[in-house]
This record gives sequence, C-alpha cells and structure tokens, in this order.
Amino acid sequence: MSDRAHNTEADNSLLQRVGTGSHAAFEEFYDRVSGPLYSMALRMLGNEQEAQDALQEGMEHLWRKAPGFDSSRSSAFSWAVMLFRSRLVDRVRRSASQTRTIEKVIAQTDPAQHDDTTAIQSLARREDCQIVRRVMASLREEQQELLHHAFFTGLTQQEIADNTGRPLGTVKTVIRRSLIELRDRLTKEGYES
Amino acid sequence: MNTPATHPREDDAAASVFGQMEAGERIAFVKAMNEDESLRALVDELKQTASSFAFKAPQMSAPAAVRARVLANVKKMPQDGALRTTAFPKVKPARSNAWIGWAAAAVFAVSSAVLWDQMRVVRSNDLIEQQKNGDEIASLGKRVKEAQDEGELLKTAVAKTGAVNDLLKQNLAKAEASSQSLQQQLSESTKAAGDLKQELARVINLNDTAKTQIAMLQSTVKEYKQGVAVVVWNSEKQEGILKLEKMPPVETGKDYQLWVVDPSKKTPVNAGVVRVDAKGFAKVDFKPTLDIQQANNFAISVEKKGGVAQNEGPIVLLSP
Repeated sequence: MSDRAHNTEADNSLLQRVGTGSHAAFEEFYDRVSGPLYSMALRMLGNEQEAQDALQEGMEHLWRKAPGFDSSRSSAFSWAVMLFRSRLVDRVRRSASQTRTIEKVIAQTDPAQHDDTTAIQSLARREDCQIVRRVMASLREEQQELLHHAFFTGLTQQEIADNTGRPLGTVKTVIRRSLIELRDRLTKEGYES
Repeated sequence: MNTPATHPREDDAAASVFGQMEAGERIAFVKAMNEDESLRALVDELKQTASSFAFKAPQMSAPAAVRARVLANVKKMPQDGALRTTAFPKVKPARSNAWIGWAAAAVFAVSSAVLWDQMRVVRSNDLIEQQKNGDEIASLGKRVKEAQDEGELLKTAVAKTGAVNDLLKQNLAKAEASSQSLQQQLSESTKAAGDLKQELARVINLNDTAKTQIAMLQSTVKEYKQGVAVVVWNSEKQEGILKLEKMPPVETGKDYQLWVVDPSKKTPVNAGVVRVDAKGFAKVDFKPTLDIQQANNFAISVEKKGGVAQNEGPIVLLSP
C-alpha cells in the first residue's frame, strides 16, 4: 500500500472513531483536515474572520454528522470536504451577492505562483495536493474556469451561464465532461484522498 | 477511485455534486438514485473527484484559537444519532411469567402489523377486509385479557404450594417484581393497541370519500434510515396525517418540514413544519398551503427553524 493510500485509510479509520464519540480521534482528525478546509473557506468567503467562523461552525457540524460517515461510499477527506463545502455555499448565498463572489474568487492569487503546500502537515496529503494541481492544470482553460466556478461560487449552472456569457447547454456539458475527465485523470495518477 | 461506465444522467449527477439543482429537480433526482444503484455510485465517484478542489485553493494553516474553540465546544456537543444508540433498559423476566412479556410483545407486533395491513387495505377500499382485521384486534385484546387472568392464577398457585425454602422465596419475590414490570408493559402495549385502533378508525373515516392515498417515506441517508414516516393523504379534503417515528433530532435552529410534490406546481408545496419529541416521534394533521391536484410524492427536509416558503434544505425522506 502506498503512503497516500495508507493516509486515506488512516483518515477513514480516524473518522469512524470520531463517529463513535472519540474526542481524541476528533482532535487528530481536526489537525489532518482543518488546513485544506480553512483554505477553501478563505477562497470562497474572501474574509479571514468569516473563514474562521465558518471553519469553527463546519468542524462542529462534522463532529455531529460523523456517526453517518460510510467509508464504502467516500473517503473521510472527501466526505469532510463536501459536507463543509455545502455549509460554505449556504454562507455565500446568505451573505454576499453571487456576482461579487464570482469576482472575488477569480481575483484570488493563483496557488501555482508560490509553494503554499508547506502549510499541509502530512507529506502524503501534500503529494495529493501536487497531483491535483498538476492534473487540473492539464485541463483546458474553459474546463478549469467552469469547474472552478461550480465548486467555489455555489452558483447554479444557469447563474454561471449568465455570469460567464455562455449558453446554459455549454455550461452543463463542459462541467459534466470536465468532471468526468478530471476523475479519469486523477485515477490514472493514483490520487487517493 | 474506480471508473464506472458512462451513465445517461451524467449531467444531472454533476449538477447534484455541486448542489446546483432546484428543489423540485433535487427531489426527483434523489428518487432516481434510490432506484438506480449505478447512478448513486456515479454521484459518489464525482463527489470524490470534486472534493479534490480543496487543494486548488492556496493552502493556509487554520489559526490555533479556532482549534481551541472547536475542541472545547465539541466536548459538550452530542452527535447526531446518539439517541439511536441508547439502549432500552432490559427487564429480565422471571421464568414462570416470561410468557406475559412475549404475549405483550406479540400483541403489540401483531397490532402494528394489523394497522399496516389495514392501511394497505384502505388503499384498495376493501372495507370487508378492514372489518375482519378489526375483529382480529378485538380477539387479540381478549386473548391478552385471558393471558392476564392465567398469570394471576399461576401466581396464586405458586403461593399455595407452601414452598418455604429461602431460595424459592427469593425467586418468587423476583418473579413478582418482574410480573409488575411486565404488567405495566402489557398495559402500555394494550394502550398502544387501543391508540392504533383509534388511528385506524380515523384512517377509515378519511377513506369515506375514496380519495385516500397512503405513502411511506424512505431515506437513503444513513442517519435517517431508521426513521419511519407514513403519510395518509385525502385529495378531496386536501388534508392529511403525517406520522414520524425514530427520527434523529434536528440541530439547533432547524426544523423538519413536509412538502408535497405536485407536477402541476413548479416547486414542492409547503405542508408545514413538523416537530418531533425527544424520542423522534410526531403525529400531525397537515394541510398544504396550495391546492394539490396530484400528490406524486411527499418529502421531508431539514429547514431553518419555523420553516421556509420554498424548500432550501436537504431532503432526508422521500416517498417512492
């Protein structure tokens, strides 16, 4: 088993223990996922204080929901990211005009400009991060842009179409094909998280 | 990650992963996933892929102060589903009276089964069959009473044996304590059977107009799978009854809310907020805010406290 596969197994096992009410396991799980989740929150909300509030509320939500985690359907990291993202999307929709959000997201620094992965403590997760960025960079610009909007802005496909000036059908097709392509390429690269 | 074959609903699956569906679409999609395991697997795969976007953002470390607050808060925070793991206290029945407990359990189980059968029967308007089942409930009640009488006779017989050794006395004392507990259980079960009969009578009354529809809501979400939800809907009176059991508590600031999916309406129709008690039980009469022409599905979502005019939160239970 590779270090990255081992890392995924360790995450899953930890989250299962969290689901049984283990505070020690939760503390460890927090340390493993809080960095990427906080980074997502900063990216989506564009405000440190709001991102910290969202991280606190989101991690408490993960604690409450942990008994429902099913490792046969997703990895612990993926489960945490998608559950947390859903809370962030709610915040984005509540707090700001989505047009402003899309502008805010576009204006963020491109992470490829500097090595920020040192903020990730686990070497295996750092390697995952590098794989993901390399694979995403290999997608066409339009694919990257629309997937980016879909994930970080919380806009509906119609709203993305309106904001980017593309026909709705194109937006749907590009998002769907890009996601499938991304899945296939990540699989090929042995991405585990 | 595996790579499943192409699925005809990939567009919808991608929209679902990013939470980009409207409420009505979402309900229909959840229903489709319930019926198509390959679609569910595809959605799981794509969620896994989408989660990799967490690495696309510039990586930062979360402040230590947030960690301290979170860890302190979760120490006093219950987890969802914690109620489900609470074991009911077990009553150890005395050997001689064990049959009373079984009788009570059997009466409750059979009464429940009869209710369910009755509800099915109502759907087909078979009033003769309903009467027959009603008679069965009455007959079971009679058998319970006979069982109680037999229990009393047995207790008297034990007392009359005159057995005076200490061990037997102790056993008898234990048996009596258990008997009291079982009698109480029996009494509760009999009351429950009575309640079910009353509810059945109400359902039969609703059926007078022959416009009654019964739906059982189900969930694919692990934490809600134990939940039981039954809707009895009368399209002529435009009102219904919802019964919930074993539902996990909603988090602070949230409520369960019932929706009726009518294909003639653009969005699901609000049928009201439902509050469950500490045991996850609720029974409410409901009347949707708009006239329903055709109730295709019933759904329960988790919404902001007090409810919302249009569905926003996650659908946790859905009728087939």
